[in-house]
Amino acid sequence: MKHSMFGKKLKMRLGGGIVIAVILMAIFAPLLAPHDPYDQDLMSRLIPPFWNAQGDWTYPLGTDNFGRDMLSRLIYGSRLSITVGVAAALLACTMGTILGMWAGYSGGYAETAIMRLADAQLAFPDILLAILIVAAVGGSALNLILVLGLSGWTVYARVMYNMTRSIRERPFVEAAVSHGARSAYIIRQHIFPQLIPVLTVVATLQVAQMILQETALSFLGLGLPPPTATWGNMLAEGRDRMWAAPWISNLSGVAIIILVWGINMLGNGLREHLDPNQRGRQ
Amino acid sequence: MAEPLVEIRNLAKHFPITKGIVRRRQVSEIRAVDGIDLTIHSGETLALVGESGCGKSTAGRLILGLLPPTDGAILHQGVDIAAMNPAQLRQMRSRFQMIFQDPFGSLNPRMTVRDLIAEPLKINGYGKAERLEKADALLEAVGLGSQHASRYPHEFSGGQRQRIGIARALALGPDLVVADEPVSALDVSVQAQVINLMQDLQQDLGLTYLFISHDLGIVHHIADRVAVMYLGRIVEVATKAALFASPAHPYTRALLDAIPVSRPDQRRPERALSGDLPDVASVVGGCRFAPRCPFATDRCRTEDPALRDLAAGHSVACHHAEALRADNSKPRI
Repeated sequence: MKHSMFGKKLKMRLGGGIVIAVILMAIFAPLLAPHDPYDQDLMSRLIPPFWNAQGDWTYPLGTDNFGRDMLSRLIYGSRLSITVGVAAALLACTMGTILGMWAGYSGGYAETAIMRLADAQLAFPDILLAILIVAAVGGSALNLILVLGLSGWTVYARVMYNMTRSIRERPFVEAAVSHGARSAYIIRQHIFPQLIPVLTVVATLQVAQMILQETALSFLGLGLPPPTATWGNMLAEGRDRMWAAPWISNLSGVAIIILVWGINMLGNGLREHLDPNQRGRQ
Repeated sequence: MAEPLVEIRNLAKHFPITKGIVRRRQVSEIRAVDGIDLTIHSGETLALVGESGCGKSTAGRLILGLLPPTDGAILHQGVDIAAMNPAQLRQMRSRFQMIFQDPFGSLNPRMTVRDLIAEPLKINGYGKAERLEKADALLEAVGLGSQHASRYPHEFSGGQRQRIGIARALALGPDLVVADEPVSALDVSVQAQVINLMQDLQQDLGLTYLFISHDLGIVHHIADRVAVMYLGRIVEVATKAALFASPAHPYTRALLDAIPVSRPDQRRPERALSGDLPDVASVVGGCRFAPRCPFATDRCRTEDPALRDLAAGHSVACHHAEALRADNSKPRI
């Protein structure tokens, strides 16, 4: 990654700053939002943002088709994106790590069963699986988390499987066996700690993927049903008025881009920071 | 010599070679260790020598119960560890420990030296205070001060790391220590220090060493007895003096002839072996060394020689050992 635009420190600061800002925004949404995000006012619908000649500061980022304040909706929308993204990534991470370590450490039938299942799942698109399941069970925050989490475990499983396999052949693991260590001890003391740096990076980058997928599902109408404020829903609502009121789609799109970009930067910065081959380079 | 600490009977380890993705079937096997008998006496240093791939490391791991044997018995003070289940074996492990070849890979890079040395104690349920006290004492014993205790392995040189490995191997107070090429990864100047440390510790603690090596110079320095392995078999066992002075097996002779001599005028005539180590799976009948042996006869190619006593404490697996031995007039090294 030595060709990257920024140094790893700048990446981590900038990415981390964006992520922290969005998280704070989500937590303090009721304090920050100038209006109720669900308060419809048909008299003031489709007001453009302040930089437009028709805009004014009552609604800094304008209003949507129902006269709801865009800024407030964006602020509240971050709550769902962050919650679903982080929770789904954690679920996928836990599942994938346990299964991957199990397959890599024990080998044999467990390895074959787990890794072939992962291959099978990777063979068709996650989003398709997610659409199928959400269409069947309906969209709710919990369902979204479960669907995205269950479809995302393969990434972790494959990474953790390969790392576990290589670590378990290292001499210090054999040394622990020769001292009489049990498998549980070896996994806890010698294998898992070596996985943490990689796990952190994969999990961080995965949060961005999860947020994009949640947005995509919402955009397709398979996320939380309207009028819930989510960035994907807002993107979808703005689609019908792309020419008359482009700010509705554009603003929610920009919000998604900034968050995902920030998370990816943080993840890349972390990866470079934790990669021993990159140490000392700046 | 003292009573046997370890007795190995007909020990074998065959690694299967499998083919097929859906239905795995065994197409062949590598006979890394193929029926060896060996006795390790209490308090001695037995060197196990041979070229790369002859099965000496596998034999060491079998003796430590780190690999399950295909066949045979491994008696530690009369108790067969080959017949034990994993839980029983764990109870036995503190009696035999290992010094590893790779001083870099054998220490977990994320653990401090104190934690590394105390790890065997932790695994075996010692209390924290006792662990720390013992770890510091062990550090002292291998010539590292306790000021090194909270550092990480990457801060040490290869020789120092090997000392850490030795301290860890001794933490549980083992009877037998299997040292698998303990100095082959070290500079020559450091090798002597580590070897001398091992000898000092042996004297102080009454250890028994199984010293696996391909370096006959070091073996000559440290060993009491030497066992020579070739292609999964032991071809000759003798005291160090007898083996270096009058090797009875042509392979042992070839090994000794391959030791570089420091003075050119004392160089022996070249008797280098021709050919490479053959594929063990391909050996069928006859002596395994016959394809490379300059003295091989028809009998050698059809009849597999058993390990037999040539003299007291000197065993060899060769049909023509007596004749070859008579030919050995010059002392070596």
